[in-house]
Amino acid sequence: MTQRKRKPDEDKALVKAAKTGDTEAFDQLVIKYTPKLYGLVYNMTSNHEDTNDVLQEVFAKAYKSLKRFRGKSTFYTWIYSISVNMTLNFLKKRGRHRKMSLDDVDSGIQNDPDFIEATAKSDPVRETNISELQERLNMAMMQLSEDHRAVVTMFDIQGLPHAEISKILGVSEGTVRSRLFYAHRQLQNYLEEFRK
Amino acid sequence: MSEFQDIEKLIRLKRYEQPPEGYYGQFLEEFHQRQRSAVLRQNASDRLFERAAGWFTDFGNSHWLYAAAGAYLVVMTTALLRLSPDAPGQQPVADSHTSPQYEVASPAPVFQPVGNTTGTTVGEKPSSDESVQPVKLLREF
Repeated sequence: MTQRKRKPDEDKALVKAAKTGDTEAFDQLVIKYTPKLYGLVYNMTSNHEDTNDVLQEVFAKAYKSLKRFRGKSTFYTWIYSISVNMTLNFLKKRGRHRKMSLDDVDSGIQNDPDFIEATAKSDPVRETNISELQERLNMAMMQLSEDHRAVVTMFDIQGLPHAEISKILGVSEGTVRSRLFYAHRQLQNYLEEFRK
Repeated sequence: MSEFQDIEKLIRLKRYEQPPEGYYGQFLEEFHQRQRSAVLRQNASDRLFERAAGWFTDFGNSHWLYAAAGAYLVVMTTALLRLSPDAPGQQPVADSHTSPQYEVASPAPVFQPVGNTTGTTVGEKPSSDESVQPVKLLREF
């Protein structure tokens, strides 16, 4: 799980200060949530430039709407909801099929135990290089519907629990689990050759 | 153990896809620039509308009450203005038949005799008076 322990009180204080016009407090929120939201948006769009544009709009929207944020949910859930909704709208506008950006794959992947395990065996199919695996992963993700992709991104990549995802998407936990099940089954078909 | 454990492991590899180095530092700077240019682009009416919307939102759940009261006020004001006797171009409905200032100025229609082929007028007995000249028809039927 990649999810860090959050301090809701810290967010509350920053939100309160930002509401009174403290722009530095809002900057703190931007700095804190950009990396997380980047992962969310990037894994849904598969394009760095689009991700940057969407994220800029997300924070601009959040800044404008901050006065309407009543604190019934955490700031974390609220900003995630804005990000998911804006990304889904963006994807609808853009259309589903577009070339994917794979230029900026982090070389840190080579040190990941899961990756080593997935590629180390002598089976010729498993000797696929990093780029190909990354490309296949991205292609497989892009084959999913936007709703399914959002759930897979939040659960599998970002490590959010079902309950948190259900709050962000405004659906039941059952729906989250159901979407995950179908998404995993679909991914299993696309990535069959990389599995054990 | 999930039946999709292998898939979950593979998908988890995507967390290593990161933006170029230094991206996060530039992001905030770009955000500030965009905010500034958005403020410059925004005209006065947009700002006024935004402030009004913000002020309205601050009322919370009671905003519908304010909206209903506002709408009622507008309707009532319009109705009162329409019924006001001082309103320009308007007549008081109750006095329209009795007030002398609204009497019809033109004379009442006068019975006009219509001539016939015998030289007499309708509703009149034929006169033997010689001063009465027979009306000649200009057209023949």
